[in-house]
Amino acid sequence: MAGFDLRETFRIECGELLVAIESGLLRLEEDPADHEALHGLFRAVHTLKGAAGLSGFGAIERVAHVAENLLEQVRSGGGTLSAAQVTTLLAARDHWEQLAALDDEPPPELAAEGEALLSDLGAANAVADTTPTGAGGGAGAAGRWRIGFRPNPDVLQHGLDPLPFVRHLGAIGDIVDVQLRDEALPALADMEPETCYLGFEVTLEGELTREAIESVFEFVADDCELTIEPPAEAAQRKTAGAPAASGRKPATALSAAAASMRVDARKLDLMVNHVGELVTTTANIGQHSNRLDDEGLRQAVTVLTRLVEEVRDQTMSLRMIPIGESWERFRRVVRDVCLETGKEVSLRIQGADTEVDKSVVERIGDPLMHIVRNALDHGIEPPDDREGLGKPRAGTLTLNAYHDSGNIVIEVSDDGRGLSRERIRARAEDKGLIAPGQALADHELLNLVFQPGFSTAAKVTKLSGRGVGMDVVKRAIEALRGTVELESVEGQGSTVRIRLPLTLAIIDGFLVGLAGERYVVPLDLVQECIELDRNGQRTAAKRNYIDLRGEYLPYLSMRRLFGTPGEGVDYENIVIVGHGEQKLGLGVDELFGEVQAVVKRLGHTFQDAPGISGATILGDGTVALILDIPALIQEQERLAEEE
Amino acid sequence: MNYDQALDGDHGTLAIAGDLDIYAAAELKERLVALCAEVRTLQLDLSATGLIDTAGLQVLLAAKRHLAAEGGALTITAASETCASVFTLLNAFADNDREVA
Repeated sequence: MAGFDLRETFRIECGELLVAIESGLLRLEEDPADHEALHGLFRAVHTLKGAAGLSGFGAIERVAHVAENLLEQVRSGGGTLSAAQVTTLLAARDHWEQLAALDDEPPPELAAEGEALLSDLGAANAVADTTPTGAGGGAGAAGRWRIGFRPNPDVLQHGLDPLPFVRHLGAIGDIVDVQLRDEALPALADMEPETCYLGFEVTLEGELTREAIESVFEFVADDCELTIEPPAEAAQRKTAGAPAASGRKPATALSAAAASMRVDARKLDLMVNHVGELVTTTANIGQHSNRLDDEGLRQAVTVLTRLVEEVRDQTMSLRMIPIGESWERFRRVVRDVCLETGKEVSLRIQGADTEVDKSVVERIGDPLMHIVRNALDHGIEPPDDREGLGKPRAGTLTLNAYHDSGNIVIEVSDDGRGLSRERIRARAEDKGLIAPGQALADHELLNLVFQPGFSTAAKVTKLSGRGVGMDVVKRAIEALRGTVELESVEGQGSTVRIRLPLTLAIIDGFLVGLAGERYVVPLDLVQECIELDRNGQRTAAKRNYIDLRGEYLPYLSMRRLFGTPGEGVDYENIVIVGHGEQKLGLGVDELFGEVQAVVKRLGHTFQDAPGISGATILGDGTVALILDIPALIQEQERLAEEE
Repeated sequence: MNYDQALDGDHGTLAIAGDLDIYAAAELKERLVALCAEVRTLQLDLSATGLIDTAGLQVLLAAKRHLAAEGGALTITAASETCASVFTLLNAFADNDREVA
């Protein structure tokens, strides 16, 4: 398998498993009786062990093996994980994360950590709380069930040991008898040590259902032949020797796995790129067909365009993933911060299913982490302070996501102390960001915290306030063509609201022209278009704003911004764009209408060009620059202030 | 995995310390193949054995069958609690007298 990097594949899978392991552990910490979480955790650790062994990560495999044993004991004993065990397993999870990143053998300190974990987990193993919580009841047939369990020969190579499954039967009923079936066992010298030759015939007594028994073998269902005979049949068989009823597990687990598959993200990127070219070429064909004025051709192009748009939408949807997957790690952050600071915080996650482009999820992770840490560190008060304020001791941190007109909105809210306007003002004056006593609208004042060099935290802690401020967060979000704003009520809490495009690869644009060049304005920002005669242009240029039906509209002439020579046009077209709370009237020469733009990044030389966020190739093969509206809004403010 | 092995004519003893799992199965098999070529009776001391899984168990079962076919015997003289619980569950080596360590 050329080009197939086993270790790299493992790293991807490992990353997902570690997320599952972490969230499983945290769920169990909250509710130790959460069987589903224990189930999922066991499965993840088990898969990790197998995958690590296959890909040559022996150090991960060894620790995972012991962790799996611990979980298996807890599971089969019907007990629960103790808080100490959860902590040890979390430490193991971090250990695996470090190991997975390595290309070589682990350095001595990591190896020592591994040994420590092995002994901790082993010790935890010995004292695993195996107090049974009682086997699940339910209406079932009481009596002696006969269970034939024939693991496939390669079950061991899949990282599964059949024994624990047999033992686990003891958790749902009384094991009356186990017969080892060793007919397949070859002579000692001919044995393959990693091939399973044994089978098991178990007589199990209890009031049971077929489903309950099948669920015991859930993890091994694809790796075994399972026959289950209910009491009547089992008894009948003893007397009449009737053939055994086959009770293979229904293929639900299998079909769920087959319903999705793993695709290299690079392949998707390549596909998106090609689909982009296809969209452009189709637009090109459309223009030619209009010129040729052939009715048959035009109809064919209409159909082609629709199909290409569907392909485009479907391709983009392949890249869409629920944002909540990347949020699981915040549970851990909240837990660790609480342990470290003695704060009590519960994390609420809403809208975790909201889908957004994978690359957006990846690139918003770090800014979000910063905002979350800020909220935990500076927002939410220590429990005693909260009690004194008449608030519940435990603070609440809420992560919320929803779709809003072609955007995804992400909100991070806390019910902490909120922001003090006086302190922001004092700080901003101190830093020279505003003039003393300068009049500012409330949201302007609040959003000063996004200015470079601004930090209201009185003390620098381990968690945040290490020189990385909210300005970095803002820049990261703006690089994604997004915006961030802050709401806060002093004493009641703060909300940081991030607005991002759903995808970075294709935008619906509005094509405008200036002195023969063409530019694209993101269509979802366009609100309306008006015309301005020469008189109006002069007034607007002088005042930097337009009177739009009695409302104040900031005005920026592109001609002026780009220093374009020439007279301009008699009737300037004003594209009114809105971004969050802000609006701008953008003066251009011509309007061309809607266009689909495949976003190409500008090369290194031009990537910092102000007011330009990228480029696209139009249907006729010419290049159009994509305007960076948030940057233009800022530029207009700056120019207006200068005068 | 640690083996402590002693030979006395066609009788051997083997004490195994560590886990008898899939990671140890290949080594255990080679050792038992070599031992069974020399002895007719073999006594296993598993009092210092940790985990035992299917892979480890089936090697022991194969060795027992091999010796029995030659008119010899494999007996387990002592087993750790973990091993003993597995043997009890599966009715394996039930014909042995053994002490539980």
